[in-house]
Amino acid sequence: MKTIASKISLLLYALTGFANVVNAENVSDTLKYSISINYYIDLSDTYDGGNLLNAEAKITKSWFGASISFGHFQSYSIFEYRVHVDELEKTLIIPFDEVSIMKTGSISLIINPIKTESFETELVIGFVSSFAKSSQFHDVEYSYSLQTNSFNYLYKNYELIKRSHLGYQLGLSVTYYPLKKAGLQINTRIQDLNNGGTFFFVGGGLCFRL
Amino acid sequence: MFQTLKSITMKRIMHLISVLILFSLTCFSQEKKITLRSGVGYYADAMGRCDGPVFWLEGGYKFNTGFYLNGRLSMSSIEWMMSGGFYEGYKTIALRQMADITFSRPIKLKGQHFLEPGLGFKLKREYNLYPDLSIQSTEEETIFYTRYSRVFYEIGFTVCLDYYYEFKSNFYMGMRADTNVIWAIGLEGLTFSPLFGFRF
Repeated sequence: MKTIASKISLLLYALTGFANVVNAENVSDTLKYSISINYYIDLSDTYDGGNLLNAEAKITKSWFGASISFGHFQSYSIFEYRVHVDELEKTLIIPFDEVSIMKTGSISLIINPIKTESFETELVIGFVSSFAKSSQFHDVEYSYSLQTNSFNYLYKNYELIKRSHLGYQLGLSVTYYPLKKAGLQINTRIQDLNNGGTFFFVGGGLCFRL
Repeated sequence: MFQTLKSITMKRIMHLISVLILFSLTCFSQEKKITLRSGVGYYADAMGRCDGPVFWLEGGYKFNTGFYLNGRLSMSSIEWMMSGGFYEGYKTIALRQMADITFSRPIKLKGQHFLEPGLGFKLKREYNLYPDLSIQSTEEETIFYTRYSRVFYEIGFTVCLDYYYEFKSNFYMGMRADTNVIWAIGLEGLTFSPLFGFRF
């Protein structure tokens, strides 16, 4: 009980302190330019995870703005092809290394609900276009010897799959500027694209005011 | 023992007073920065074509940009008919518990009439009551496969639009239209509800 009470009071302290800080300064009505470089991890299973390096340029005024971004996504995963062998009463596992790369770009509108000189929160809504290439499992040919308990031959066949994705994204960015021109940013982006392209990116990076 | 207890109590009282001072400095300034609103209304599942009541409660804080950061808790129970399996034709329910963080900005239409669009993120917990039974018989045995319910979580975003009239007492009332769009699935739910709120 004591712990809960102290946690609640700590939370109230934090919230009130936060509210005082973010409301301390006035919103500027001038045009502001900034660029950011972010590293994301993908929490979706579209390409079994992966990493995205993304660069973004944005222009804001008062509580709204626009941004354009370009990124490179890469993922590596292992697909396990399983064959049950009744005679041996065991399952053979044949691993396939799969790699996907994707170029992605977006144009978004930005809403700045919280904006001061040192702290910014952005809501991002926009269009996303991506082009992906994946080297994926196609089929497997093998011959297995029950006597020697080993493969006589094993041919792993891959195929190159090219997919383009088009859709929308919604994201949230929180930036803290310890320096006047440079800040730290944490981001999340939910993307819902066609051709089975759904991504949930979470990451962080650096933001620079120009 | 008594001294220790007294010291702890004093510590807590001081703690509470300092929190209240900070809270009042933040919240009870000239401008009304905090809002609380609630409503009970109609929830429709756009995908399953079923519906039910929804209850929601929301609290918001106004920032210097004019935007409110809102936290919302809502709960809806929907009734639907099972279309397959052992209990085909029977009605069952699903309970949706949702937590939202939204940003909204009031737009003054005329006089005390306001329109407030909002956009944010959603976390949904669904308790889906979906019983089923299948029987597999062999010469030696009969196996019953049963299923009763499942609980799952989904994320998505919410787009809402409020219309309300604000009285001089800072009490306001109106209507809310709200959607929930589930990530990778699409538009799932629609909410229409009366809205009652207060600013302080």
